[in-house]
Amino acid sequence: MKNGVIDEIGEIIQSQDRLLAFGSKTKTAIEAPPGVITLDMSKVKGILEYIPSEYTFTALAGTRLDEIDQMLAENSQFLPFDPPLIKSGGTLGGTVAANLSGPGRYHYGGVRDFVLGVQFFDSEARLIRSGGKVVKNAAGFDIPKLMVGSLGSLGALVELSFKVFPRPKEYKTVISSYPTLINAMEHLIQLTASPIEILCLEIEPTNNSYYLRIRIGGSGVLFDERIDKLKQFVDDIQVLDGESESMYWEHINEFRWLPEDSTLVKVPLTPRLVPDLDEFLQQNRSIRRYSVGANVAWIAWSKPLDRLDQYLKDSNLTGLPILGSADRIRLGAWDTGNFYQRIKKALDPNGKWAEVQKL
Amino acid sequence: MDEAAFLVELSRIFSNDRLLTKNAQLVAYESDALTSYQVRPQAVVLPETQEEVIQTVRICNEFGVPFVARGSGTSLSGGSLPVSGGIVIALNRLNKIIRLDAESRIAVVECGVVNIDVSLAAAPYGLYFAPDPSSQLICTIGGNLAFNSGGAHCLKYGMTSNHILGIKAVLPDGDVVEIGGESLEGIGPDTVGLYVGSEGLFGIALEVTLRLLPKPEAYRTVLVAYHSLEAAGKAVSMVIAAGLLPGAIEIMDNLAIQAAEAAVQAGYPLDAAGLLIVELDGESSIVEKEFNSLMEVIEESGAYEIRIAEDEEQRMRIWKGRKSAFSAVGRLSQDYLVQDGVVPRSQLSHALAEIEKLGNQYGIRIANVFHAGDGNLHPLILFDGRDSANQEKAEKIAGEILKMCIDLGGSITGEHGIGVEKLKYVPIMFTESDIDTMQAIRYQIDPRELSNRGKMLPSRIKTA
Ligand SMILES: Cc1cc2nc3c(=O)[nH]c(=O)nc-3n(C[C@H](O)[C@H](O)[C@@H](O)COP(=O)(O)OP(=O)(O)OC[C@H]3O[C@@H](n4cnc5c(N)ncnc54)[C@H](O)[C@@H]3O)c2cc1C
Ligand SMILES: Cc1cc2nc3c(=O)[nH]c(=O)nc-3n(C[C@H](O)[C@H](O)[C@H](O)COP(=O)(O)OP(=O)(O)OC[C@H]3O[C@@H](n4cnc5c(N)ncnc54)[C@H](O)[C@@H]3O)c2cc1C
Repeated sequence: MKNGVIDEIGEIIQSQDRLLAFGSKTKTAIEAPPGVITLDMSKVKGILEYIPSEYTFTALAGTRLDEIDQMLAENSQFLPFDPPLIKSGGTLGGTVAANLSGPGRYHYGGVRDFVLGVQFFDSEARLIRSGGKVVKNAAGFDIPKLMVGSLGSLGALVELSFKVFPRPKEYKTVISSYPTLINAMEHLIQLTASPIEILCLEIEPTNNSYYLRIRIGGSGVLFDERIDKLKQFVDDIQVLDGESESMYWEHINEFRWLPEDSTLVKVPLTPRLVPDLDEFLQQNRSIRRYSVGANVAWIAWSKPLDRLDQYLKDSNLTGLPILGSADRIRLGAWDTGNFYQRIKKALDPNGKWAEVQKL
Repeated sequence: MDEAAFLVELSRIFSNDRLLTKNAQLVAYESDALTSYQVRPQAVVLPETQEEVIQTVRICNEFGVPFVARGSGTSLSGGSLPVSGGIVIALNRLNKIIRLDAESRIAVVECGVVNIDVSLAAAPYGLYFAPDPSSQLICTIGGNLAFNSGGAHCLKYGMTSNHILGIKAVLPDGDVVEIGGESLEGIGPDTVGLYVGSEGLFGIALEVTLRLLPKPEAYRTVLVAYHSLEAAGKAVSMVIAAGLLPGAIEIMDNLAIQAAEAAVQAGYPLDAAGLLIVELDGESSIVEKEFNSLMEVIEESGAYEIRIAEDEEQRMRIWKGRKSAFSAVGRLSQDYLVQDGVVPRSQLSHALAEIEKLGNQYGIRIANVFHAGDGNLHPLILFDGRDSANQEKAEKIAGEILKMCIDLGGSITGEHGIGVEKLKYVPIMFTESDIDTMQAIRYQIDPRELSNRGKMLPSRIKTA
């Protein structure tokens, strides 16, 4: 039956000139350009192989993240990069194609660091394999990593293999607040260089203060002792644990904090670039968070996107709208450079795979 | 091709002492660490700046001369073996650490910087560069990048690719590109991920942005001896099943123990059939907790001797034996082949038993040291290079081992790359269309196969 679905997709690919693969469209801002047929990959779903003692699994790309998360949880394992939109129905393929990692990316690494292998339909409807199912593999070009962030422009993902890790049994979140961003950033930077094992590290600006959130975790470890250690870095703390702690991170990672009529934009950056960007966002009254140790900004943008686009271009930054509506997709200084163009030409000589972009 | 004119062009950039053309000078570049292959290049150039590398590549492109990038030449798969009629671009002198930004935890380095030098430069800030191939005292970042090299700590920290954020490279036709950046995150296809591990087929990486990590606060390292190799393999599964994620899990067999002991006196138990090294690292209170769990597992694993490193000196001694294992085996036999196939972890014991069987069947000694946590085998197949029948047997065994890895659902290489040595196994591991796809990428980047021709992917160009 599954093969039937895959064969069907192969036939569609063969019969169409312009296509774009989709999961189930949680990333609502990312849409196919007009005139492009969308290829529904959400039916290509199911877990193919999971051996907990290998710390790996293989699943079809349309498999929903919540199904995977549950399967792993039953064996005390997880996808350490905290894929966002688990509860909203995101798929494995969409997560890879849109390159979405959540707060846990800070400690463990992102989608790119956990994807081991891929099978995809190329533009001639051939099924191509790259990478593998074992945790270590250096044979051949690393196409699985190339597919991370490809937004469907290099092929339709069919099957994905991932590495997983043991899941911490317990978490705690330590919160402190600062009057200025500079203040909060100073503390964040000290923490990033410390040997304390921090799983997530984020700054959330609010109307009158900047919250620094530190998530730690483990199994049967002495949290009090560890929190004492953290107190050398941050003062006046509040500690979240249990249900309220996990609900907090779920709220963050499902983007439930996104106001109704705004667009969620992901902007990769480094800590040094945060102060300038924050000033601009504050002027524009954007709700925002700096995640992954200030390596990514999640921005709720409610004004015309051209304004943000221009700012990002001027600052040599890039942005990708993820949720909400968007009249353009590639914000800022996107790399459509020489190296990428050659790869696109190699994998898609006739330009069958549309590049998401509002024209 | 007008050879004389080509050399004249090069001589405009390189003085005599940096443009090597005499036989006596070229001999040193004939092989990498896989010494059974030798090719004498037409010339070797020793650039000192990125601009000189770019100019050299452009001249090669103009004259259609193939080139091979060379870091320290420690490749074990013939990756930096010269191409006949081509030149070698030796990159050791591009060894500047351009910028170390402790606040952003990155280092921007030239490709010829030696792996360990990054960690040494980062040490004052409490940071280090995680990838630690055993050859880290000599191998270069460029070589690590081209092979996506591993080391003992991949299980927890990943391979080189997981620690590279940005690359400035000169493509084989002389175009200079910059991919990636300084952020941990990115958008758009992960072209850096594709470049890493491309075995020198995509031109030359000039400048690399590396991710640095805070040095672990604490280590706990334990050496465990078993009466059988199988028991050591089983212990690995038990550790993993207990939900532990050690920084490193390594195994050595008796022959490897003997060799390492003779070479560096690490104090290993000489009668062990299998030696397991497990290292936990991280925040001290977590490591202590995990160490207790680890010891519970180890005590149940049928070990006959357990030694815990009590201080840094004892820890370094344990690692010294393991990290010197390859060169130590070189003392047992001048010639050996190292394979680095990967099997699923649960198949380790089975794979080791098969390797032993092969050794007995062909009457060839095989030493085993391997990254057990990743299922990454390193059988060292000893032979006598003066005896061609003996060498043939060794190569046969190597092939059988790789086929077994593929059959078990693994890979022909975990970290040493395909190079020239494993080229013939590529069609066994990949289908024709998989290979076509890789070739399509390669030919868009290098239609004339000027960059490291004949490595990793079959060549369509007939060499003389
Ligand atoms: C707040 C919210 C609530 C929602 N609630 C519901 C609900 O209650 N019920 C419901 O059914 N749905 C709901 N949805 C929609 C739903 O979540 C979608 O189901 C979503 O499952 C899956 O999209 P995706 O993550 O697969 O990525 P998509 O948004 O489908 O795709 C993201 C990107 O990845 C690419 N891509 C995706 N798959 C592939 C592939 N296989 N190969 C190549 N490229 C690919 C696309 O081209 C696109 O560029 C909700 C969405 C949101 C935002
Ligand atoms: C004793 C010993 C122990 C080893 N242990 C390990 C180990 O634990 N783990 C492991 O993974 N490997 C190991 N190796 C293999 C080897 O050290 C690694 O592959 C290393 O990364 C090679 O680095 P190098 O500088 O010597 O590169 P070289 O051998 O000079 O080159 C390797 C490849 O990289 C290409 N290259 C070099 N520089 C560049 C550049 N700037 N741009 C593009 N391509 C380039 C070359 O063309 C060649 O294909 C070991 C080798 C030895 C001899």
